[in-house]
Amino acid sequence: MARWGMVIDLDRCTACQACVVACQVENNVPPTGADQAELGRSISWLRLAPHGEAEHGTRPQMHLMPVPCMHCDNPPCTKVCPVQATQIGEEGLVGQIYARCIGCRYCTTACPYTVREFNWKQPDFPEPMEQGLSPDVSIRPKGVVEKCTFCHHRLQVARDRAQLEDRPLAEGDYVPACVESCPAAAMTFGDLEDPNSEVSRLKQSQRAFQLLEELGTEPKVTYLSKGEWGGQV
Amino acid sequence: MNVTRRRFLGFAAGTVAGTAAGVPASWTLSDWMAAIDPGVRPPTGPEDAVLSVCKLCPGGCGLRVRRIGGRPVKVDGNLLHPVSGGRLCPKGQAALQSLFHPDRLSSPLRRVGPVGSLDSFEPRPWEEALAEISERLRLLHQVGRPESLAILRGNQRGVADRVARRFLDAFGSPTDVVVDRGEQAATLALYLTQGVRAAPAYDVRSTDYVLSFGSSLLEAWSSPVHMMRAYGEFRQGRPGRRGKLVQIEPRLSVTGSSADEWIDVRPGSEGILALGIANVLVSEGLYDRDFVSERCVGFLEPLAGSGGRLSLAELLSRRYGLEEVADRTGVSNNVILRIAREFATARSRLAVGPRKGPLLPGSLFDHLAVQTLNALAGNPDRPGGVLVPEEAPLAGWPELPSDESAAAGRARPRLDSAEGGFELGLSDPERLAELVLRGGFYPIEVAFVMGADPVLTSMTPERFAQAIEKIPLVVSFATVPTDTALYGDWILPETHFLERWDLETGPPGVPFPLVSLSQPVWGKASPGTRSAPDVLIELAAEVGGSVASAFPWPDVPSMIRAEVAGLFAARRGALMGSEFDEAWVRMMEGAGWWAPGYRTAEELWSGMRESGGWWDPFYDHGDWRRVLLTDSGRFEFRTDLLQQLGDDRRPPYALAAAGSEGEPLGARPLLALVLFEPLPVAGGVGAELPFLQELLEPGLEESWSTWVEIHPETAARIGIRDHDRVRLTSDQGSIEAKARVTARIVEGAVAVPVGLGRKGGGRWASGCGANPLRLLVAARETVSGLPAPEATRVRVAVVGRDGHGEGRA
Repeated sequence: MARWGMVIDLDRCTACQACVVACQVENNVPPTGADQAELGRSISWLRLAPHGEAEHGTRPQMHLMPVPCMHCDNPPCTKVCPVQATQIGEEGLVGQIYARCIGCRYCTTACPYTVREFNWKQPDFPEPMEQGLSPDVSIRPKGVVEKCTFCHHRLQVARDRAQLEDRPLAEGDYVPACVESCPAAAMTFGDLEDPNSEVSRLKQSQRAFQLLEELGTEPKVTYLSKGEWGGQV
Repeated sequence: MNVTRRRFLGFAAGTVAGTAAGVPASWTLSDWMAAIDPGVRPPTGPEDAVLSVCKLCPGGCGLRVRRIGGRPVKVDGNLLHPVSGGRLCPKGQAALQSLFHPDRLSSPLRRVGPVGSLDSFEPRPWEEALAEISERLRLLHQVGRPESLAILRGNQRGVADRVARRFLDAFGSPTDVVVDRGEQAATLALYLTQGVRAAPAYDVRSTDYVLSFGSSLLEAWSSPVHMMRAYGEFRQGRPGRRGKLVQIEPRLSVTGSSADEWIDVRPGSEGILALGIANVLVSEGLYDRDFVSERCVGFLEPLAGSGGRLSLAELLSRRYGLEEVADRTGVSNNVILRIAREFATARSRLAVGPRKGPLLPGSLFDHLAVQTLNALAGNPDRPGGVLVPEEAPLAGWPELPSDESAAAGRARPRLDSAEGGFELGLSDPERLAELVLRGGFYPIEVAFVMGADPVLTSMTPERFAQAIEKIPLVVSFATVPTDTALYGDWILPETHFLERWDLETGPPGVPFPLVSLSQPVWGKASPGTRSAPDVLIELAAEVGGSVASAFPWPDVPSMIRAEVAGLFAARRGALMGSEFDEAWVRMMEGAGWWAPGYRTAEELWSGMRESGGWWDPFYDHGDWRRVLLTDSGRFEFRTDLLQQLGDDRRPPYALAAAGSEGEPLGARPLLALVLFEPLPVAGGVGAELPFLQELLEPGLEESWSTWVEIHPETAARIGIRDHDRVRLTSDQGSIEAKARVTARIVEGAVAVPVGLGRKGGGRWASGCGANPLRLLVAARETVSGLPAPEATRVRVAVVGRDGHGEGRA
């Protein structure tokens, strides 16, 4: 059984945010507009989180890291959902069943990575924007929570395709939209159970760390910290 | 069918449980989406893909557009394309949002009221538009004043640009103005030192140490995706060899956030620091002696014939000593020495000039200083150094039909370069606006504006608006109304770039020649729209005579096919292909063979449709006869220009930062203005798309508005708190914006993003934010004549403290 995971190399990342838009387009995220953004209600399943600006008077630094859903092996969100609208699947993907979600937002509060988004409004695609919607992903009604799915609809397609070609699923068959778009190839995706996969190899790096790993959430997204000049890769 | 939440839940339960309770068993996801929102009709049908090229910036990324039932649903990079390599930036990813923009025009609009508002325009039929425009053109042609036509355009290197130039040539006008100046300073510096007319290509992929002098290397670069791909390799693509990036700039940019080190300098002093580092290289003997002695002139003796009195070695030691440079840049002696030594001793190193975006080319002085440093490091035409791009061998067009009046018109000076300047044909849109307003040389009677928005993006937006208003007939092409269009007379609805054929040559900053083919993503263009080249060809036919016969092709696709035939005749290069294909072609060409993968022009054409285009990946390093075209045949150290520009820069520029020579530190001091272009809205394109508006500044989490970055100490002195509403005032104008107090900007300066503050641009851009270019005083750099935005200084005052958030009363 595969266990899907991602590695994000912060040494390659240029903070261009291609991943952010690739995700929004792939997953039919509606444009919200300035007024919703002002209220903190714009939706994006993957954001660049800033950290590290120094206090007054000292030398500032700024680091930006892309934060998608960590698809934790021990996800805090699934435990608080009163209607089992969010669950972790056999292959480790934390899914969201929109039709079951009652919009209580316990999960958005429980998630330490704050990657869950609530639909405060009915999605609005002013004509003719709805023409560009992908038929692979449902749009979400007002009142439900949505989140990064690791583009699991792509897994379905990849699996069908492999089956049609009568072969097992190969590395690279299933890649989320953010990973596909990344110009600096900072994001890698694959099967963590497969010891020969690129993600498994990268996870062994001395630069590897996980976000808030001390919480015991066991995230399946691993980051590689910046390297040293002249140091080993 | 409208669906309540209860019914939606019913459907959902049915599908999830697989019982199909009350739901047709055959329902697809599309039916589902339609059920949630009756306005949504996702496409159904077979899946396929069409290859095209992104035109949201000059970067030239090859696209692969995924279609379902013939309708585009996702845009990704074309895996075989050497610029994008299957990757895309956020702009490219948002391309469908611009294709399906709700404010796209579908009918020509004629202005019937005051300028500056879309309400003043009325829809009119195409026939009426073309009749009026062609009538005016015919008249100009008949009275023998063809030079009174001007075209203002972007620089996408595609059919539209070639047709525009051809139209001007055939008609008889010299005034072909490219509005975005992005590559001008770097091009000029390369020309003055190496004699080549091209923008340099920095080989970041193969170097070990990059000193970036205020460049937006990882943001609004000439070809952002190409550069970011190279950067990824530079960092972690070569086992055991990790590149170091040092960013030198007054404001910690997004590029700076990726760098290993940020060196904060006084605004406008990047070039001084480059020469200071050059001086360390020379005084410590760390420069590339072989390259300097064999390939350079002007190092120990002043350059003959230049009028310069000092050699480079003398200039550096007299003017750019450690103490003086430290004093003028605000960077300590130790840091200068350390950086210079790191740079000099890296296995391979590269200095990158201060190009900040498509609108902000940097100054000639800074670029010359960086070129000088690169020459001392032996970088010209070396792997990991400064490469010189080569033009793609597209077939030229047939000779122009002879026409005396047109030839006389063409021979007149371009209106925008009629005063001084280098004979490089570099455009000067601001001068054009001034001459239109002042009335010089000859009047402009008709202007076409295509792929450009000078009322938003020129360095003198208000003067440009007045100039556009003064020209009797201004015709703008636009998908969504631009700011410039609102000041003109006709707005012609243009097809989207995903809806038309195009053939474009490689973007600036990419060293190898390439030609990309764009194919329309669907059969016919959006209703009511036409492409700019089609309209120009139609107008040419209406004007008749030699202008009409200058376009012998019935349509754009036939024109493109004729150009591709020329490519075939060049007998070099190959179809775009995988990395393996690339290595193969490179190896074969290196050994003197040609391995194209096509045998006829027909095969080349169909191969280009399937792969995305043609290129020649072979780069012959050290081909000095191609890359050193100066009179001396060597790299020329232009101490004459460095000296003159350096002298001219002292006051008032050296005063730019508070605390430098003679700056009064009053209660409300004048602050230096630092402009930058965030990638999502660079070049004045992007604010019309809501996904891009969300991304303006991830560090400060700013979106949907213009903000002003100000240092905590400076803010405290003026009494500004974070999130205050402030007004910036210069001698030229004023804007309002939100203050963000941050140590990312040096003291005594404010940083403001360019790209917002539009009148046009549709519902999401119009009225959002402010345009800081309105603050710029009309200063220019001597010698180059480039606009000098760093000469502008501003006062900042609080105008409001309301709303919510930190630091509000």
